[in-house]
This record gives sequence, structure tokens and C-alpha cells, in this order.
Amino acid sequence: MPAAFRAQCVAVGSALPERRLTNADLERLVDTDDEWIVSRTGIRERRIAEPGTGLSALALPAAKQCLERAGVTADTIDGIIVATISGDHVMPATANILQHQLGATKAFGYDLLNACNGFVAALSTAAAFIESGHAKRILVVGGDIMSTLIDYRDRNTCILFGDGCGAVLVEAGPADGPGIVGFELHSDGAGAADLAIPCSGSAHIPTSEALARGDQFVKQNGRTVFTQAVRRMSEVCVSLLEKLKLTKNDIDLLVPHQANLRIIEPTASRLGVPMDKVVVNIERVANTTAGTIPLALADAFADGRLKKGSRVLLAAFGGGLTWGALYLTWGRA
Amino acid sequence: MSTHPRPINEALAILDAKQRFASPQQRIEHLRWMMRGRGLDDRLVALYRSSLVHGNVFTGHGQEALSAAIGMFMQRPVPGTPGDVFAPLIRDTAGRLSFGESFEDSFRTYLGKRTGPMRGRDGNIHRGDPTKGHLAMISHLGAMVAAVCGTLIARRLRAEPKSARTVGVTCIGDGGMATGALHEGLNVMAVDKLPMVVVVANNHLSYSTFNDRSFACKDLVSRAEAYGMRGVSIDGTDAEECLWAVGDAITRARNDEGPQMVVATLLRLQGHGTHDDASYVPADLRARFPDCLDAAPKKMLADHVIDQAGIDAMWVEVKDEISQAYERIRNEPAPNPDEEQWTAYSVPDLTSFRCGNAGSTP
Repeated sequence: MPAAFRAQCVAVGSALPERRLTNADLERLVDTDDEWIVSRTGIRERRIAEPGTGLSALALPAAKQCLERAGVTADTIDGIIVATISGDHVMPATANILQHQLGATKAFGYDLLNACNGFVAALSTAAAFIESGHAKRILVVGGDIMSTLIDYRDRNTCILFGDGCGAVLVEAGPADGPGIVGFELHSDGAGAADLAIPCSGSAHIPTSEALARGDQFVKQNGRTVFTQAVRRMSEVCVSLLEKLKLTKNDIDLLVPHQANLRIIEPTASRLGVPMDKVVVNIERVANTTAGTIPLALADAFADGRLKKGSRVLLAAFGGGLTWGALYLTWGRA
Repeated sequence: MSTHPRPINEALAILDAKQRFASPQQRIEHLRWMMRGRGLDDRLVALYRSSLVHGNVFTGHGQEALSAAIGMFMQRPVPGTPGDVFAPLIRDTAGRLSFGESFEDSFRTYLGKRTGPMRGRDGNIHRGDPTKGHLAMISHLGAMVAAVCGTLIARRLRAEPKSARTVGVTCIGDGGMATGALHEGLNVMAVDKLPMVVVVANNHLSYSTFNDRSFACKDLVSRAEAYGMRGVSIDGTDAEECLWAVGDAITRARNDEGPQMVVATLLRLQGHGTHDDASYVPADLRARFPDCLDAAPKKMLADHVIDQAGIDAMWVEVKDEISQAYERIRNEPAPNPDEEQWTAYSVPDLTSFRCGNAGSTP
């Protein structure tokens, strides 16, 4: 049965911490250097929240900016989904905290845990709510305080990640209007150990020995993740476009997860999308996990590249392993 | 060296400490103190080999980066204020110098000169000068923690405003960390929340006993937490790390943040003393640890803090300072038994006895 509504992405907001952690700073913490980091990742600096800052401290200003741009008040929101792996707490969900802080009095809220693919998954979930008529207006937040999940002795990971948060407001619109046209999500738990935080749930008790080993921090099999990311992101984009009977010419903007410039470039190349149509901000904000795509959308909105009618392809890959793509036309009908 | 994971709050604190305590100017000054320590030790060894030294020479080869940093952040006494208190150990040539001991007083002690701080009556490393904040070493096996504790408690009991915000620092090795005196001292230091820093040089050799027979914990810094004080574990061969860690610890102690411990992992690069050839140190252990006086200039060159000409010139200047100091004291007299007060302890005129120039502090 065709959907009665289409989920429109009507506004975006973002928030970044003030503090910058530059490659020069990292040179003073681990054995690395600016040239190495830039040549292998494209990252020059990342933002770092002050220790003790929860994700809600970034989610709130990002959400407020988003709602203001959308011209709606918080009490009209039906639901809040926060994609993150570093919420304020495991319980309560950051979405609940945000719901209260925003004054979104009638909204439900929950967090969605799907690592770097979290925002695409959350946006897909919001689309499903709206297309099925279960909600009219959902705030989708993606963000992470990755600095709390990183061992700053591990030069393989500490150079890659930063903190940041973005939000997109999704509304019910006419079924034949702009909005989320389609999405595709995948996972493969066989690669679970390739990108993981070992001591972060019920499978591993945080013993003093585990904490001394640093099991509470991100561990990554960089080579495998890199290879899989390039392959899976381009595969899922091609698959989604075929399913929607679209071509690369139907893409105004490719907004990929910002994990590594050396993943972004080959992904775009395999899709045949020129780099001037690819939103890249990794140089300034690094990998913010669930925050990369909404932050990139916010940057594209700020520089005028994302506007009403823009045809946008989102693509992400992350720990799980999990990957997905989502195609949308921006703005209200 | 420590492999403990480093969370973001520690990483940011380190960056802040590096900014405050390991600026380019401070790194250059630090290198100069390291060179002075190495240069003096080498000269003393040469004098020992010429049979001019009474007793042994104990050198700080490999420990200069750690030791030199200590004096740089301590406050020397000036008229009207007592300054900080330092109880150096046998490998703290560089730290003694950076806290104000003169080359001359070091030479005088090793050569048994009447004009030295111990008046030629006590041996080499057991020298001190309370008027300059240097406590004479009783033993390097833990005794000095209690001595510094006592000095700070006495100042606290006197409640003299001029003593406010002064700190005490002492050093210990991995062997000394296993002694009873050390543990009692650490406990007093922590219980009384003294403004004090214990700098631990884990040089892997308790004379000739290796770490695996000296302690069973993973890192000696766990002792800090056990006693209730802040501790950091650092790479003692990394000059920059020694600077910020020691500077940060001394500053925290001065700012009433309680007692501090800095554990530095390094390697003793020579024997226990000049009598020991250290032939028992295996090559693979030696290969794991660079000489801080090789590593520091290399890193400073890479960081564009100094150029090779600057480093070369500094060595020339330091060696010249040492030679001039030696020439100034070499003909000074030995003790005269007819004039000495042969008491077992210090005498009231200990300092006044040292008429004349005690030496120039660099």
C-alpha cells in the first residue's frame, strides 16, 4: 500500500564544542605528526567537549537552532530520536533529557545505537513513523562526544574522532512532495570485533583490569574497516539508486559519513559523483560518529549548497558492522 | 614506561601542563641543566680515575631529564623567605644544580675540601646546605621522605607566613620504594596532606636487582593511589614529559592540591657508582631506553626549538663553566684537624665557617 505521507526534512541545526584539538596538539600527546594525519585522513583539527559535558549539552542548542529554522515550537514535536553511542547515560536515554530541556511536552523519545550509521538509521526510522501515520513531526538528532570513548595514548584512533551534534526536523508532507524517497540499511555482525568498544555493555564487566587495559575505549582494525567502508558505502548507494530507478545525475549533493577523506573520495569516485558535489567537513571536525551527517548537512545549508529542492544522497558505514544510504529531496512542499 | 590508557581529561591536562611548563624557552633551559649535570658527572668521574676523589662517584647518567626538571620549578631561598626544600639522592647531580648548588660545592665535597658544605668531613653524595634548601642525604633508601616531611611539618607548626606556599621535594629509586622507611614516610606525607612531591626514578636496577625482583605491581605509581595521593607515570627518557609532569606536580603541591608522586621510567646508564661496571645489565634492556641527552636535542631540533649550532654552543659553554669552577677550587685547603670541631653533628658555625665564596650558582 503506498504511503499516505512523505517524511520531509525541513530544517537542520548543529552545535560544536568551542575547544579545538589540532594535529599539533596531538603531536604533543602521541607519536604522530600533522603531515601524516592530513595525508592519511584529511583531518586537521577536531572539536572536543569539556570533560564532563554530556551529549545533551550539544543536542539542546542543535535542536533549538533546527526548530527555529523550521519555524516550529518544541511542543508540536511528536517524537525525538537521538542517534548516539555516547549519550549522557545508558539510562535514561539522552532523548528523554532533551525532550525535557526543549519543553517538547508531548514527544516520545528514545536513543538509537547504531554507531556511525546511527543518523541514517534514525532518519529511516523517523520516515517509517511518518509514512505510516504514527507521527507528524519528529526531531532526529545525531551526535557523539567521542572524546570520552577514545584512549589518547592510541595514535590509531585519537587522531580520527571529535565531538559534535546535529539535528534534522522531519515532518509529514504530501506523498508526492519532497522528502525521504527511500533508504536501505544493512548489517554484518561477523565484523563486530573490527570496530568496537569491548567494555561498554553486559558482555564485559568493567573490572579494574579491563579499565587498566583501556577496554572502555574504541578499538579498531583500521585496515579492515577502511576496506569495508569503501566497498559497503559505494555498494549500498548503487543499490539504493537502482532500487529508486535513479542515476548519479539525480544527485545534487552526496553527504557521506566523515570517517576519512580516503574513504570519502573513492566512494564518490565509484559512484561517479564529482567531489564538488560531495560535502566534506572532516578537515575541521573529524569523525563525530553519529554526528557527521547532520553536521555536514548543517555546513551545506550554511554555505547555500543545501536548499529547498536539493537532491541529497546520504551514506554511512560504522561499527557493527553496519551501513546504509538514504535518498531525499530537501525542504517543505 | 606507562601503558595506562589516557582519557580525554588527562590528555587535556597534559596539553595544559605542556603549555605552562614545557615552553620552548623552558625546554632550552632544561637542556642546559641536563648538560650541566652530565658535564659535572663526567668531570667527577675523570677526577675519580685520577685518584683525586675520596670515595666513590655516583652519577646520574640517564636520569638528567627527570632530575634537572625538579630544581627548575622549585623556589630558591632568598633573604626573608626560606624557599623550598629539596632532598636529592645519589643520581640528582642535575637537580642539585638546577636548585642552586654550585659546581664548586660539588667539587669541594668530592675532593674533601675544608671549604665545602660538609667541611670535608662527609662524603660526596651526603652533602647538603640547609641555608639553600638542600637537605644532606642520610640514605637514598627512603630516609629522606621522612626528613622532608619533618621539615614541612615544622614549618606548618611554626605557622610562619614566610613559609607559606613553600614545597618539599625528594627523590627515590625503584629499590628505595620497597623500604619500610619509605612507606612510613609516604603515609605521613599523605595523612598530613603535606605540600610535597616524591619523584620516583624507576631506573630498573636496585643496584643489580631487576624490577621483577623489586616489586610485583605493574607500575609503581599505583602506590600513590594506595597512600591517597595524586600520582602520574611518565617516560623518564622524554625530557619534555619530565618537564611538564614535574612542573605540574610541584605547582599542584604549592597550590594546596596535596602530596604528589611522579614515577618516571628510565634506565641507569652507568654502574651504581664508579666502582661498578654494570656488566650485569643485559643488552636488550639497554636497547629499550635512549639516553635522554641524545633524545632531548633530537626532539628539540625536530620541533625547531633550537638548532644544532645552539646545541653545540651550549655544550661548549657548559664545559667551560665546569672547568672554570674546578680551577677556582682545586687549590683550596683540606680540613685541618687542629682547627676542626670534631663533633658528630652539625655545629652552629657550620655556615659561618664557610668564609669566603661558596661558589657561583649558575
